[in-house]
Amino acid sequence: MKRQGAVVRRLYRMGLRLFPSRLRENHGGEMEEMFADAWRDASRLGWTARLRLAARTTRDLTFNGAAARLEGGGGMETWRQDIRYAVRGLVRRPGFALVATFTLALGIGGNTAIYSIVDAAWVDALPFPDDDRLVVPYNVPAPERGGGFAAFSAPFYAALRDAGAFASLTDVVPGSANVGGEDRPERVSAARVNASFFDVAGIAPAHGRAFTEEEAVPGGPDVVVISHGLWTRRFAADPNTVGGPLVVDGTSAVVVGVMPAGFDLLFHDVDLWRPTHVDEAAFTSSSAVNNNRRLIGRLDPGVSSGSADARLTAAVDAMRQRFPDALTPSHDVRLVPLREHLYGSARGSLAVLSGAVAFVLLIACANLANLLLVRGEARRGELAVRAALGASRGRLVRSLITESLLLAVLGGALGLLLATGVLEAVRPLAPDNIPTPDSALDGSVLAVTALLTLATGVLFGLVPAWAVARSDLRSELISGGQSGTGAGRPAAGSALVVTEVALTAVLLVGSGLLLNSMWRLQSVDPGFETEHRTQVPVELAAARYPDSESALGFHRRLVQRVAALPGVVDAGMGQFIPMAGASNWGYQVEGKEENGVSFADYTLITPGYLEVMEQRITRGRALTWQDAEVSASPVVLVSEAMARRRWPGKDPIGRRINVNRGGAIWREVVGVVSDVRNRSLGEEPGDLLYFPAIGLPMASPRQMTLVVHHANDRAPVAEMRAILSSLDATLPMSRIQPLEEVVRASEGRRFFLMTLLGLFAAIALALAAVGLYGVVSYSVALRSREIGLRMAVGASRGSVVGMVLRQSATLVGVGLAVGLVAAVATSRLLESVLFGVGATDIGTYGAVALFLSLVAGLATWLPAARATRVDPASVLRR
Amino acid sequence: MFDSDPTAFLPLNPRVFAILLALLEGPAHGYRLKQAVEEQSNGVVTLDPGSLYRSIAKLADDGIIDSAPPPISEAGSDARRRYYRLTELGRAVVAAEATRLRGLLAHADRGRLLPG
Repeated sequence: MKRQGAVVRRLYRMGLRLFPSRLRENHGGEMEEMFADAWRDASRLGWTARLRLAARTTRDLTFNGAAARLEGGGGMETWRQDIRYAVRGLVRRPGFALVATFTLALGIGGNTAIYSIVDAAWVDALPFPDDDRLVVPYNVPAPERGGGFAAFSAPFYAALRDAGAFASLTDVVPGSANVGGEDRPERVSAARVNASFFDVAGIAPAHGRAFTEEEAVPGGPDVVVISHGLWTRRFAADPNTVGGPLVVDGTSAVVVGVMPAGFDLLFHDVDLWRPTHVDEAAFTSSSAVNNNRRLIGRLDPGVSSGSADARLTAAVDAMRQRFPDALTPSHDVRLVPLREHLYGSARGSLAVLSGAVAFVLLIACANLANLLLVRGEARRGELAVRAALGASRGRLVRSLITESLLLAVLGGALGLLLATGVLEAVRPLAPDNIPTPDSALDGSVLAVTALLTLATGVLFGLVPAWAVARSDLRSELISGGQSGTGAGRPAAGSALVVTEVALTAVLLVGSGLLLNSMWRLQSVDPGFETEHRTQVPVELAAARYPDSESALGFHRRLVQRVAALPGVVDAGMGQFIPMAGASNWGYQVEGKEENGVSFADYTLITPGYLEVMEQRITRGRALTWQDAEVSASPVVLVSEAMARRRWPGKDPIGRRINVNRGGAIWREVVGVVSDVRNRSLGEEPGDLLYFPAIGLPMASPRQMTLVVHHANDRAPVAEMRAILSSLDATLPMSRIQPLEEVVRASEGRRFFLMTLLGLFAAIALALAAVGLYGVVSYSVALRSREIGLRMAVGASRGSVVGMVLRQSATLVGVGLAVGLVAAVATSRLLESVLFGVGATDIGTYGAVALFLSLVAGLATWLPAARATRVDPASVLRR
Repeated sequence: MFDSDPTAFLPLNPRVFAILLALLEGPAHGYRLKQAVEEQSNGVVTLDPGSLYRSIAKLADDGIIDSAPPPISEAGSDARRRYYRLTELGRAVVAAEATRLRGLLAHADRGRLLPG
């Protein structure tokens, strides 16, 4: 901790250099002390507080340092002269200026884009007052194994709410609703919340009001609060909407409030909030295990974290005493800050991407340093003249740095535009745990970009300036600027090439590993067919379909009419389509009750579903419509994986399982279904239960998804719409999606990382190739006399090209070796998203080495071949 | 009376005004000024060291404040800390800004914007 403090102080002192020296001498010490105090306070609050202080300090030093310099006016005239001189130099060589600006823009733009994502996830305040006090409780059944999940049952919620650990704790039950009745029916995401929800968020409706405690009671009035989006879409943002009616799931409700634009808490894109209540009289051992709600709380500033923990533990104990079956002996509750809950899982991805863009920027800097070195060589004569006319060495160095800073500023400005474009492009790809801000023009992002720009300008400007500072300018003047061999230059150029190749190799290995994983995932058999399959979510209103029979009647008519459409091969319904959100539930096996409860994913299906998905019945029979009737004897289908695991070597048909807690209802296994990958392509098939579409303790057949297998690319959407509205005019039809898209979306995180990392690797490769080309061209040009001589005395073109190639091959080889070793270390960061390949996959490393060598070979061969076209006679005459 | 016209500095940046108001109570060092400004704004405004000392340097250059010996009660507490006080010009500038603000308030009051 102390060490870290010292490092941070040193960094701060470096930052102070942005201020004019007089201000720094007068106040630097006190500024440093003030910052050190703030750092100590932030350190006590945790690492996000430190990150936020760092961002704020960067902004403070950059803006105020620049402003103080402008206000001070001291030395401005010299600056102005230097800038004029630099501008003139760049205008004279527009090609150089253009290449340099673009190279920098790529580097700075990529960094700005990724930093603005990091900023939104970890630095910016969340849009709630006192956002640091918002926490999401996690249900942790096995603390020794860590993890846990953010869902609780109603009785557990009630126990925690009354524990006295929170200023306020609220529950949210996610779901959806049909709004509009027969007038433009629409299906929207809805959440049931209680009256304290809006207090916890700390945000009041923009129009109207939130629910009152009196409204959130059983049999209370039908009131809803709607989102800004729904308000604009359905009511054209009419302020008189408040107090007016809205048909929700077949009954008329009153709109009491409209939330401000952009409001969401815990769930994205919710359009409707309905009051819920926790009915303590109805708690049973079954409701105690139904983890159907998310919780979010606001910590009480008056309760220390120690005593909050003690109160939570007491609440868990009370819960265990009342419902012994619902909790494990070591059950625990963990409070996770809201920010961590939302974005914590993306920390690895963001670290990888930040590293990748930093590499791109370093390569861009190396290229520019090299370009400027070459220019410096060409300008030695000019600099010598300026020195002879009385310019001090310091002044010359300063004017060179001004030039590189000017380039950096141009590149930074273009980079900001690029960054906005990159953010725009990645927004549709970004998974939920990666926020993509609307633009890169946020205060601390601008400050970081400015700092990056300055650092870059100084970094690549220093190399040529150093070359000037140590050279002998006087002898330069005497020889007329002709003799410059630039002793330091080839070494510097070589070092730059090695660095670029090494950094590029690291990026190529990373994106190669991901590409390899994606490719392997593509060839994984998910166990079901997606081509020419389309899904249509259907949600029946409880008011119109109060029981299983009425829902089943609807499903049966729908499936039969859709299946009869021309161009439709099969149709069926399922509750959870693979990879579109799974749910699991506990069950007992008859005869093995002593083993307790095991968990399996489950779904409800209708006849036709397995045919659409092309899943086979490997033993026994499929489900029929009769199985879903109330009078039918209870049956279930199981997956092959589950049959193997539960009844190894035995016939599962005729065995029975129970999914009802308290009062067993034994269901007979009548069939075995071929396996599917239910949650993601990367996960092996597991236990999966298929029930007929009837009411179960954990599921209602009212929410199902129609899946249709159509003969060609076009799904018969209009015809399905017509059938739905003829069956029930209040049913909306939205979120129709090809199954292929559903599967692709489930691989969103990998795809996002692969796309961005691939993009950065491609940029790095292009920059490194250009850099290598530049270095070789220049060294060949310097040696044109030597090459001419060699050819005059009989060397063949081939041997000359070979000589040049061999020299660059050494540099590329060293770079590759360094890069591949570094890649072994860095690729471990990717391990969690790789599939089917290890972080040290030999094939990938070999392919990268080969590919990079080929590109490097080409970048060397072009200038080498050109060099051999010199006319030996003309070289000798010079 | 002064080399400069006090009204030439108006309107003052609210942050600068807050610093000068704090100095009306007597000489103070940078840290004290930071705390005073943050207290005045109920914690809404936070003064980072860069913006604080840039303001102080600018005010000193303009002759609105100058450095002062540490007050007797705090002498020897920390030799490195510099104390500042308002100059005559500084007092005139604060007064001019306050007068300007009062004019504005009166204007707003005529529009019956202010409660009470």
